[in-house]
Amino acid sequence: MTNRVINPDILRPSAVSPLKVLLCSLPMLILTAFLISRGSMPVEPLKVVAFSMTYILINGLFFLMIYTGKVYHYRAILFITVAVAFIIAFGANLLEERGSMLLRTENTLAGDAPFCHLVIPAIIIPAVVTKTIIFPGTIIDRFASISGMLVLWLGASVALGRGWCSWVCFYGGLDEGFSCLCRKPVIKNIADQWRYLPWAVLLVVVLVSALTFSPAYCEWLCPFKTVTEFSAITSFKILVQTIIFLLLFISLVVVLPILTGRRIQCGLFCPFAAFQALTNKFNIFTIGINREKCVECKRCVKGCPTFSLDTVSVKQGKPLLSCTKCGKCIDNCPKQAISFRLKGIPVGVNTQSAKILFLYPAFTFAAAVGGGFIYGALIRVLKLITTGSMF
Amino acid sequence: MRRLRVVLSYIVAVLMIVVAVAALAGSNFLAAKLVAVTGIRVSPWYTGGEVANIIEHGSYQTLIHRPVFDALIDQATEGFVQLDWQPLAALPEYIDEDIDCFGNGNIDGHIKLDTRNNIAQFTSYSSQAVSLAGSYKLKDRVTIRVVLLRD
Repeated sequence: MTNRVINPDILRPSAVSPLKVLLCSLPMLILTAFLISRGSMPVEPLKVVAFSMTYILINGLFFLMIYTGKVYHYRAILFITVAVAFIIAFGANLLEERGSMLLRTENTLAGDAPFCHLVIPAIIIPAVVTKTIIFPGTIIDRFASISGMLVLWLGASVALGRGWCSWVCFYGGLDEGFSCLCRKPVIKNIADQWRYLPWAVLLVVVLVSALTFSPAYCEWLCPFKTVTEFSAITSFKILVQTIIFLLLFISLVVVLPILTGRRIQCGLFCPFAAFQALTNKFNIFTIGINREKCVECKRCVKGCPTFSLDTVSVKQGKPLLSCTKCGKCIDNCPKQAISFRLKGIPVGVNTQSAKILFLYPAFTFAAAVGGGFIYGALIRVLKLITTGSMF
Repeated sequence: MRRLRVVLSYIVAVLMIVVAVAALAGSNFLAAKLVAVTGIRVSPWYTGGEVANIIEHGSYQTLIHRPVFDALIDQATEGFVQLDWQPLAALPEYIDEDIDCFGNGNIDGHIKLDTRNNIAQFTSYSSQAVSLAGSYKLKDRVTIRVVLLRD
């Protein structure tokens, strides 16, 4: 394992003029102020500091994306920061409200469990057939209410497709963070067949959830239970579930991403990711590969964090359905053959416009969802530093 | 035709910015609309289902929910009935009540509940009311669930 060295290209300005960069950043400056503060600017000094730090970080990253033309690097910084901030903010909120991160039967009876997008594929069939949601949350008017999260997911799915998984998901940054730790992957060859695993997991989860009328993925397979809320161990069954969560987290989110340099949980296991890939079918944004410029060096194939490119798809000039639009292949391509693209527009035409048009909705979601968690986490950390307590 | 496709692509791409802002800024409004239009609610396996009967005891009341056997298709063979005693502050130290789980006028069991430490004892009078699934102290009430078998 070696330390990462900052590539000087990352800070090199693109062809875009500074005035254009500023003009492009201006709408985001206004939008993020409104979305992070949720309409009311903070007045307490501690909150003002936390807000300012969040605001500067988020807009600084957006500015650098436009200024340098490199999307992946700055998105990854934001994405990883959001995942860490989410754990801090979410955990601290649970500790404040419940006194622990345990989810007890009392909490499920009171509808206290915050709704999480990973359960969405499992709830659809029961929701359509019986109009009920098989999740112990609250329908409306609460933090992470079921309807609120569904609206967020629907909006992001229409706007970004599976871009959700690299711009909005607050778990994916963990996977990505660990995958960035090792500069040279220890495991380089992963058989193509593994790409079908998320679809198999999705099928099993959807069927088992419908038949048992309970969210099977949450109950048995979610690795992120390890770092969010988890059931109090009151029976042998819950002990087994807890061991499974822990093993999956260690293997899929920590060890394998470090060894492969890829997002193993997101690319090879997550059933929500497979489900979300379907939204790429109708989403306007995609990635285009200019066959005239491509020299088939396969850097994009080897580097794709979610296994969304293979030699066949490169020859076809487009990624697989599972593309998360993270931008890594675009930044990695030595011939600038890969770019963001709007469906209906030929590959390689107006790529700068396509990128800006994609970045606005993608970054708006990232800033609103992630910014909220960064802001919340910073408040907790600053409180801890200044008062000795997070609460 | 090709020009039209290009123009449409740009229009749709710009609309995605509108979708993003609308989904985030109008999430409360849209969430309320979603619930109103679809009529979705949380599964009775978590909420306990609708309240079927309320028994007044003066300072407090017993809420008996409908029996829950909900399944995707047909009904499950095993279910439960939930009973709540509320408000928490007005509950006596001991609750001693006969229970009609199915709302058919027949007594299916008897519950003894110590509200101070939340220890409950259930005696079944019917083959359909099997056992106590658990007793739970919530912010505003004490709740028990009794395991039921379908006819």
